[in-house]
This record gives sequence, structure tokens and C-alpha cells, in this order.
Amino acid sequence: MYVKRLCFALSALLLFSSCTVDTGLEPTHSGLAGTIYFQHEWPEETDQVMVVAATIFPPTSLEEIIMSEPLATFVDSTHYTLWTNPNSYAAVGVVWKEKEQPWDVTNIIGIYFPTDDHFSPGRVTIPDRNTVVDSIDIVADLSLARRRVDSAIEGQLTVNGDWPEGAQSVLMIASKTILPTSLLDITFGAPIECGFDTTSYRLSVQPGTYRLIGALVTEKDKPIGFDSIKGIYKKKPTDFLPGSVIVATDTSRVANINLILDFAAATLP
Amino acid sequence: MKKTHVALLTVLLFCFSKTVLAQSTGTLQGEVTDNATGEALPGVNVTVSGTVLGAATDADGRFSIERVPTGTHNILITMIGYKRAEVTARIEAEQVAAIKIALEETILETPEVMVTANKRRQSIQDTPNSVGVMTSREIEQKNQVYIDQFLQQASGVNFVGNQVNIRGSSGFSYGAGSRVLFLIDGVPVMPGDSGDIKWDMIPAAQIERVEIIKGAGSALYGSSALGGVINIITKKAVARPVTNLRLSTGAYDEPAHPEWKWSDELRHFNDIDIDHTRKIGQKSEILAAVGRHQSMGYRENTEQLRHNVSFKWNYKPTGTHNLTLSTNWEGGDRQTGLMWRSQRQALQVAPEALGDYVHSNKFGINLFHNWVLRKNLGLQTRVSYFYNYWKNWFHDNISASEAQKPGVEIQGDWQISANNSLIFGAEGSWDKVISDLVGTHDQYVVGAYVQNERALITNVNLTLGMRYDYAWVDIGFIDSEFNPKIGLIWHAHSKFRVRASSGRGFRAPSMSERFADSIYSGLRIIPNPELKSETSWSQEIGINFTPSSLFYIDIAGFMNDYWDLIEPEPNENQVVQFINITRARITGVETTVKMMPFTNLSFDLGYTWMDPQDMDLDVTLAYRPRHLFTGGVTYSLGAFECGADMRYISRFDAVKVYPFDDRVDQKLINLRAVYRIGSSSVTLSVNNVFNHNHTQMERTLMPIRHFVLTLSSRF
Repeated sequence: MYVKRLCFALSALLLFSSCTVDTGLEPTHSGLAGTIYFQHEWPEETDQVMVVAATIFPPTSLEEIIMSEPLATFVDSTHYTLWTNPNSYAAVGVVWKEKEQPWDVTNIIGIYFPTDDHFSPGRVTIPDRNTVVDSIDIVADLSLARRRVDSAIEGQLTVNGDWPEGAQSVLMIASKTILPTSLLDITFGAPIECGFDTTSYRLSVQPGTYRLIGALVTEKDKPIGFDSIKGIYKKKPTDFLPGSVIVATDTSRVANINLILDFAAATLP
Repeated sequence: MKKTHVALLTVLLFCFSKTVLAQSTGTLQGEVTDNATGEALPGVNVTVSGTVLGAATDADGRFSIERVPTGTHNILITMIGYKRAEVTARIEAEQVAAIKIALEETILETPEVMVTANKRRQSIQDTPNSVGVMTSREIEQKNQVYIDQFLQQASGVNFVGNQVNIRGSSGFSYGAGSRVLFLIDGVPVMPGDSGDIKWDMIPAAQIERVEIIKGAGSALYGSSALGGVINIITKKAVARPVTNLRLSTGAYDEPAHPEWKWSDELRHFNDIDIDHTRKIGQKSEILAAVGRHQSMGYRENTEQLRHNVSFKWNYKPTGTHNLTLSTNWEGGDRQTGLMWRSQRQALQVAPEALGDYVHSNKFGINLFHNWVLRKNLGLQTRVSYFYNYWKNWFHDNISASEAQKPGVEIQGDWQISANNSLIFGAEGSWDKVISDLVGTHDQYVVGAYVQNERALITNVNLTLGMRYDYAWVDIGFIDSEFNPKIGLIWHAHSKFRVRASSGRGFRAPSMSERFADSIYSGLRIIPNPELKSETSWSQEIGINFTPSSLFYIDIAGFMNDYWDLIEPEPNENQVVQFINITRARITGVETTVKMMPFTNLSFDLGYTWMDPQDMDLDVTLAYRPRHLFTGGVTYSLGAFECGADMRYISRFDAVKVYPFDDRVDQKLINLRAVYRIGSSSVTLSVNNVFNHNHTQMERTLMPIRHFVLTLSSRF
């Protein structure tokens, strides 16, 4: 009799054990929202545009970013909502994707800047599962959209001194002005793993004249700024100003643009 | 010179055959019935112990085994759904010995099942490693259409997307490669391009039994058997004219949350399977089957329409030769809603992915020849060909791939003595791939194996086996692997046994892992021609206690070590490449319990605890759960049967692509009720009855609550 009761109790347990538990995943009720204002002409090669939020800026892997649904294209402005779970995002930006090309999260055409400091992306924190943080408005400059080109700047990176303790990655940068006024004036390369003595790099850039070629080191828990630039290309080591590089066409490859990452220097080299 | 050798071999074989024929033999005939009803049982396996001789009963429950050596023999009679019987028969020279056997029905099938895990038929109780079995009755109870749907209920097995994990072996690699070898009737059917498992190749209605071999199986099966083997045994062609019809229809319920509702239509699905088997002439039987499977899907852009055709022809010209030809074709279109639009719209895909679909065709043909050379020596030859074609129309990618895999295998089964047997064989295969994804490539694999099972001392059996494989890829990449295994079984008591085994496994990279060059979901995938094979060592110790035919418990502890695991990794340029990365170890304990405390109530429970560790990074391996529980209860009362199946899989500690997404435990309860009228039945199932929402692969919600009504009939 006891065995029978035990069996029926076991059956009942099996059947109804999940009655009292949660029903699993639920729709997201939190996120961030705002309006994207597009500037300049839409490139014909436009495939998609998305809002991207990164927990670390600049992101070093796909795991650190989330992407919105594709936004409306060939419009002057559009409202968006990026549904996501509570988290703190170091930067929110707009990424452009060319037709028949893979996503390139460095192809940024707009960043959320809450102040006039266009070197410091605004941190957005979603506090709980029921809050949509609104007014995350972004100006997206379509003239910054980078089509796929074969043109590039190439060279060697040599380290002088010891790597800083919190060093995470090295990003090659290029700017058409000596003193960029915004992060958007800078073309970023893909992250290079730290720890090398010498390594070669290749920075894919659009044709044009670049007046600043540099190497930026990201450090753990430290926002990037001008002092993150640890190496600048100079034609001669004694030159005061950075060397210019002309990338003539879509297929130009400018080689031997070598830099020294100077960790021995206290500030900017 | 070669001609001389062939002629000499022919003469020797002829003489050998003559010698066999000249031995003193008799015939064993008999009849097998159901002891409760007295009805004849067709399709019962009858084997002469200590030999390779055997037969299956015909429509009238009768069998005949010719050329049985004179003397006293143990005759083993087995059939799924019935308790195994063993009788003694005395064979006199040139005489016919007749026996009658009445089999007793059982619901608790596992202890009785005969398996082919060691490439020969043997009791599951005699295998040195863990083997899980799902019988046709259990498959029918689950009321599902495809293998991957009902395999989710097997102990120690879980799925991530369409990738199967046995004891956490596979993880997830977006459909490229599989660490579990998939066989249909012992023949590998994994295409050379993707190297993954095509679960829709055979519908459930055509399956007689599924064997799940746990742990490394490369010592017998070669590449891909790194984490285990799944062998699908299809229905046999029998002499009695029988037609089976299975009609199934169903629909998905509303989503659990109104935000997820995306369609006002009733999302339904319909399946038809029909097969017919009969005798043709005096010496052959055929089985033909067709199926149509249509679903609107519960998620956006997941509609599909598939068809399948199977044919099997069995020809037995003499008592010592048996020829079987089997073919399968499956094809159709399937929309591919890979990932949700957002967790806010979890049943919808990104707008640009609407309309993405894949057209595919798969075809397999196998010819088996079984030759009983002498009472204790059998030779099986298999020639096979597998063809897989697909073309996808994705919004960002249109590509096609064609993979062909001819293969041949010769296997000998030598019963040296009653307690000593030897399996030996060699096989070769050629993968030819023409693909937009991986290019045009060829890969050749040859392998040879030998395995000896013998009684070491009384009640202790030792299994020693090894296999050598040599693979050559057209770019000049060569790989050779030697995989040994050892197993011990101690039959401490007729109801208690202890087993231990250790074996090495390996998996050569699939062509898609080595050569893929494409854009997939906006990600660039680049080739890695230098990719090495991944390897493993599996250790297991287990006990099995079967105090009566109403209770069965099996406990196994295992430790599986992996080297050079192949995983997709985004590099610093956000480009994905398959690379060898991880040294990993998965340790765990698995328990399986089957019991029938009352005549009309049975339980089926499985629990697996695992600790999947990345030994290099000292973190938990991605896409592996720590706890797996499956439970089933069945209550039968006359023609009525009802039951419930439960599955619990703990939340993955780690995933790779979207670690910030919500992840939850997988909890599922399915209810079922069956009413049988003669040889027909009506089954009603409610799957995911509590509408629990979870993912296996990131951003893909698993099926919401749905209802299935099935009518099965045999006439």
C-alpha cells in the first residue's frame, strides 16, 4: 500500500513539479530609445543601419555589443528602441553596413554625446527591467560611412618600455586632421592583442590625406582619451608634427608607416 | 600475377565452402507465440548462441535455421516488447529439430533489448560501455515526427539547436561538424561538407529502434564518434503483408505573452506516413514507405514542406546468404528563421530575413551482403552512397552545396568459442564536395579495426579493440589516428553487473570547418586549412542492477577528456574562424531507472550530473548544462494508456555569442493519451503543457505549447 502511494506521489510530483515554477523567458520591457538624425546624402551602397550599444568602448569583441533591429533607411530621421536587459553601456552608436558586406562594428557614423565633449561617449545605464531610457538621440553623419576598399596604411609597431599593467589592446587610428575634434573624425582599426615587442599592422582607410596616424592603447577601467595615444607616426623622429600620408585610390596601399609605442614617455610622445 | 591470386583465393573459398557444407549439420525449426493470446509473433529474432546463425520468424511466427552443427545448443529468442527467452535444442545430423516458444510481454524493455553497439548483436547487458535504447514502442509513445524531437527525452542527451550532445560532448558550433556519429543501419550518413546530422533523413514512423552509445566510439566507428554514436535501426521488411498508416495533425497554441503574438492564423502542422511490407516470390521481402511532412511553424519564417521515400528489399537466396538493398530519399523546402528579432519579439525574425529559405535533397543507398561462411564465421559486406544537396536563398547570401560520399566496408564476425569472439573489418569512404561555401574538395578516409571479446575468468568478460584511420585531404593535409579501447564486465550475479571501459575518440574537421569562406548572418567566416583533428579519452565505470523484470537501475560515472576542440572563434578583426582551442574535461554521473511497481504503472527516469570544464581557461565549457533530468510515467488500463514526460535541463553557465541575453532552465512537460482499438490507435498529446519559454541555441525560442492528434493503423 505504501509503495502504491509512493508511486502515485512520484507521478504527481513529476506532473506538477513545474506548475509552481516560473514560465521561463519573458519579453524584454527595458531598453533605450531615441531619435537618429541623419546628415548628408544616403550612400547608394547602404544595406542596413543599426544602433549598437557597447559595454566597453571601444569594443574588443562581438560579445561586448548588442545591436538593434535595422533602422529605416533613406530618411532624414527615425525613432528607435533598442530592447535590452538592464546593463550599463559605455557607448551607444550608429553603425552603417554596406550591401553584400559583413557587419563591421568599427564603421560608426554616429555616437551618442550628451555633452559638447565629442571624445567622451555618453554612458547609458538601464537601471531595471521595466525602464526604457529615452532621449538617447544621435546625429549620424552618412559622409562617414566607409565603403569596402582595398586601400590601407601598413607598417610595423615597435614597443619601447614595458606594457602598462591594465593594457587591453592596441587600436590603430587615422585622422584627416592633426587635432581631431570628435571621435568620429578618427578611423579606428581592429584591436591588436597586447604583449608584443614588434608586430605588423594594417589599417583599412578610405582614400584621402591623413595627417595623424597613431596607436592608441586601451586600458582596463580607463576611458580612452588623448593620453591613450602612445605612438604617433613621424617621418623623422626629430619632427615635431605628425607625418602625413596620402592614400590616393581605393586600391592604394601605403606601406612602411612605422610607429614606436613609447611607454617610457610620461605623456604624449 | 594478380589474376593468379584471385583465382587461388576463389578456389580456396570454394573448397572452404565445400568443407563447411560437408560438416555434419541439421535444421532447427520452430514457432513463436504470445503466451497470453496464443497469437503467432512475426519478426522475432532467433539466434543460436555461440554461432553467427540466426533467423527471424515469418508472418505465422515460424522460423527455420539450416546447417546448424550437430549437438546441443542454447537458442536465444528476443523481440522488443517481450521478455527474452532461452531454450536448449538438440540437433541431429540431417534431422529437423522443432521447438515451440511462448514469449511473455513486458513494458520494461531495456534489460531485454539486443543492441549492435559493438557491431554485432548482443544483449545490452553484455556491452562494456553505456548504451541507451529507445524502442519503437517508446518512440510511438512520444508521438513525434523526427528523431531529434523524441531523442530529447533520452537519458544523458540534450540538444543545442540541431546539435546533439551526449553527456555534454558537443556544445554548439552553428551546424558545422558533430561530435556524435550518426548512423542509419550502421552506415554513416553525415555529409562531407557540413559534417552535421540530418535529423529529417528518416521519419520516426520508419524506425524500429535507436541505440545511443555513450562515450568515445572511435575504436570501432572511426571519426566523429568522439562523444558517442547514435545508430538508427530501421524497420525490417517482413513476409506478412502489412500496411502501416500514420496520420498526424496539430496546432500551436497562443504564445505565453501577448507581446510575442505575431500571427492571427492557426499555426498548424500535418504529417502522413505510410509503409507497406510483403513477400515477393519465395526468397525476398520488400518494404516501401512514403511520407509528407508540413508545418507552418510557431515562429515567423519557419514554414516547411518535406517529403520522403524509402525502399528496402531483402533477398535470401540460400540459408547462408542474405542480401539487403535499402534506399532513402528526403527533400523539400524549409524556411530558416534563425534568430529572434529581439526578446521583445521572440517569435519574429529580423525583417530582412523574411523569406530566407533552404531547398535540400538527401539520398542514400546501401547494399548489404551477409554471408555465413561457417557456423561461427560470418562476413558482411556493405557498399553505400550518400548524396546531400542544398541551396539557400538568404537575404545576404545565395549559395549551394553538393556532397557525395561513396563508401565500402567489409566486416568479419568470428565466434572463436562460446566465450570468445572477434570482430574485424576495414572500411573506406570518399567525400567529394562542390560547394559555394567551401569550394571543391575531396577527402579520403580508410580505416581498419579489430575487437576481441572473451571471458577472462568466470563471469568476467574482457573487450579489447583498436582501430587505425588514415585521412587525406586534397590540399595535402594528412591525418592518421590510432584509437584503442578496453572494456570489462563482471557479471557478479545474474541480476547485478559491474562494467568499466576506456577508449579514445577522434573527429576530423568537417570541410565547412576547414574551408568555409562566406558571410553568415552578417559575420565573415574564413577558412583554416591547418585545422587539426580533435581527440578524446573516455573513461567510465558503471553498475547495473536488475532484481526483477520490473525494476532496472543503471549508474555510471564518467570522465571524458578532450584535446584540440574545434570551436568557432571571432578573432580580433571580428572575423570568425574555426580553430583548435580547448583542453577540456567533462566528469559526471548518470543514473537510469526503469520500474513497473504495478502491472499498469511504469516509470522511466534519467538523471545526469556533469561538470564541464575548460582546463586551459579554468571556466565552464559553453553550451553545457550541469543537470539533465528526464522522467516519464505511463499508466495503462486495458486499451487506454496515458502518461507524461518531463525534461529538465539546467541553465547553461556559459554561452559564446550573446552572453548578456537572459538564459533560463529548460523545463518541459508533455502529456499523452492513447486509445487502442485492435491494431489501430488514437493518440492525443499536449507538448510543453505549461508553455515554458526557453532557448537552447541563443535567440531561438523552443516550441511553445502545441497539441498533436495522431491516428495509427496497421492492416
